[in-house]
Amino acid sequence: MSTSQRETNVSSITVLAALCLLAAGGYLIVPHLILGAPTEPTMGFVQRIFYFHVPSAWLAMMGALTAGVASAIYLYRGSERADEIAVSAAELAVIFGLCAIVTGPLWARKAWGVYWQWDVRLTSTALLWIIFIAYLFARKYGGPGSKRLAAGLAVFGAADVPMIYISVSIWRTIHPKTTVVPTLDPGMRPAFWLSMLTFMFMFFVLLGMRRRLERLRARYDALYLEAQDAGLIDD
Amino acid sequence: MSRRTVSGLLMMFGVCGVLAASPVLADEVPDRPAAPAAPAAATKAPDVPTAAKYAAPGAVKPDAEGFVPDSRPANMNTVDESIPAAPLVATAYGFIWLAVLGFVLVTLQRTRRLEQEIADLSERINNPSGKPAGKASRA
Repeated sequence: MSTSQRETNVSSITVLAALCLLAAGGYLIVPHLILGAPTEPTMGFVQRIFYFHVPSAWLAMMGALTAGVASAIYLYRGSERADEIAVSAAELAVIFGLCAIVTGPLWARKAWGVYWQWDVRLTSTALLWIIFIAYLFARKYGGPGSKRLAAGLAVFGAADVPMIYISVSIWRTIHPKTTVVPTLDPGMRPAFWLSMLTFMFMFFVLLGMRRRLERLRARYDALYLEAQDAGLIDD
Repeated sequence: MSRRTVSGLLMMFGVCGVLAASPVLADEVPDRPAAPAAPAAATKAPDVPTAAKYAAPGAVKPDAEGFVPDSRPANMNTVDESIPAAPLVATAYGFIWLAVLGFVLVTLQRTRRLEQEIADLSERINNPSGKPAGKASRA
């Protein structure tokens, strides 16, 4: 086994160990805390969706912001490393955005009586999700120059994040306001913050995994060109 | 990721899903206070929503413009208290873990395939056969 293969195996094992720890924490500890948290008097048991809906939404926004900032750095400096981070964070923004968009309506069906309402926060979150799906499509099918085009789209999408956050404070909206978390019942705080920590750990592990894939892709492209120059590959 | 690891993760997910959907944890609607008497009709324009029409018992009073922040708009139906909450919570929780697990599996699969292609290409570069090897796939 070569040194690079050994390093790859160690890296894979480390990632797998981190994922297993995460799964253990997620599956064993957090649900127990969520089920043991006090029941919200108005909404009842369905309010427990809050403990993973809010972290999903926050991580979707964090992914979008990360992708936007990294894309801006890529556009300004041409940094390939920033581009790797951007595309990895954009995929996570889509995944966690989907989680927020699915869990929210499930909660809303019981709490509001409808699955969806064209409320400012819901609409702007859906818009963010669509923008980053467009980013991924542009990366995949945009052809030459698609990296820069998609980076511009990511910067545009990241500008939606502060809009989502302050929308409930500026406009009349049925969505709960941002004051809910700071004023959370003390009995609910351990479950919420541990859930938030678990989700954040998951975000960084997944970001690392996805970024590693991008680095491998860059290495493959370099090797391919080298093989082509050496006449080993017909184009 | 080995089949055993995937099975273990799915089993843990299933256990948690069953616990969440257990009848023991079925939704219990807390006793609500008696509904207040309907307030006097608003003197505002007829198209402004009023608390009399939408307010749940004990809801926030309308502001000077007749707006009740927590009231439901006209196109919303009254909440059906008979909707069980446990399946909704279990579905939401399960969806998140399925989405994350799916992302992990797809990423690991793509990574493994790319590592194999890198190994093949490195082998070809380090041990050239002297003949063009034909087309190689671009990842």
